[in-house]
Amino acid sequence: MPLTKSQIQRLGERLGRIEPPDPADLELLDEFEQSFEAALHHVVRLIRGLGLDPTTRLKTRRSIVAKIRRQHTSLSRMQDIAGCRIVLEDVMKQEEVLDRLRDLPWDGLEVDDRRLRPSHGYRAVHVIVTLDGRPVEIQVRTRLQDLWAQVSEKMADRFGLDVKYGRGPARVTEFLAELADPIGKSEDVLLRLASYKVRYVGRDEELNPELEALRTDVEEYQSDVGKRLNELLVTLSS
Amino acid sequence: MTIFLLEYDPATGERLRLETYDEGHRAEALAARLRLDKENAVAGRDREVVLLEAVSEDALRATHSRYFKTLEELAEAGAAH
Repeated sequence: MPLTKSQIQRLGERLGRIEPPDPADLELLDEFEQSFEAALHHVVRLIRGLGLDPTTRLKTRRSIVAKIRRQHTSLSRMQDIAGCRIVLEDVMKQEEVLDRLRDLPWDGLEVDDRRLRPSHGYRAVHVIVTLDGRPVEIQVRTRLQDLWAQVSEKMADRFGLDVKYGRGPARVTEFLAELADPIGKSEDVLLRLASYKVRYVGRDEELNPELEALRTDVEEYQSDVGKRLNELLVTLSS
Repeated sequence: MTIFLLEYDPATGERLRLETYDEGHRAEALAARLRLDKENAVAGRDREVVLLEAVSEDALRATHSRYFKTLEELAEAGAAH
């Protein structure tokens, strides 16, 4: 018998309240998570049909409990119990893959574009698809977006989970904001550059100083990313 | 696709376990995850126990580098790119 919505609701409430959790509740959580497996594997089959190799994951108990406590989110309404991640070379490839994902035969699809509304510096696109009544979150990141996210996670391990949500030691949140800034700018300019290339197709690009200026901007922003990371290395070693 | 059962200690940033299962042994991987979650809960240990699936360990390392690299290694790799 699948768990009812009210059973899931009460399970989430207990997990958020009781520490350590009751082993019986961990079994129920496991059962609930396993109910997403068929949808998750269907999603992965469709994505692999596009020639991509996503990594799948079931959300950890630790993350589920943290989310319930932090956001007072109901377990039954969580959209990222099951998910997968794709990391792509750059923002143009990200756009191409997003277009291809939109064309796949989902029962439902929502796009949460965190490049437009970054969450405390976190930029990525989350595509939440529904299959057989189960949501599955597809995280589509560029290499630079993923680098920021991994650094942020690692800093949260070291300086506390609050760091991921714009709180915690000021030097850490300031560093993450300073790292996010040139990443976001370089990707925005790369997208503009790509749209210019479409507009100027067949013409001699060298004659267009605007394209050159945009290329220089991208190089400068990407160089800033490297500088920020080198500064971090110096700080960590001192 | 290979199933990876990974146990990670956020406090130390250390990966404590990386077990692999082939797709035919999914039930065993899920059972092992539940067992570890229960053991950690009883012992009051703050650990991440995560079940991931990827075409290879290299693919897993590319999407979940936090479990495989220190903060310093992540910064070095990012700065060098």
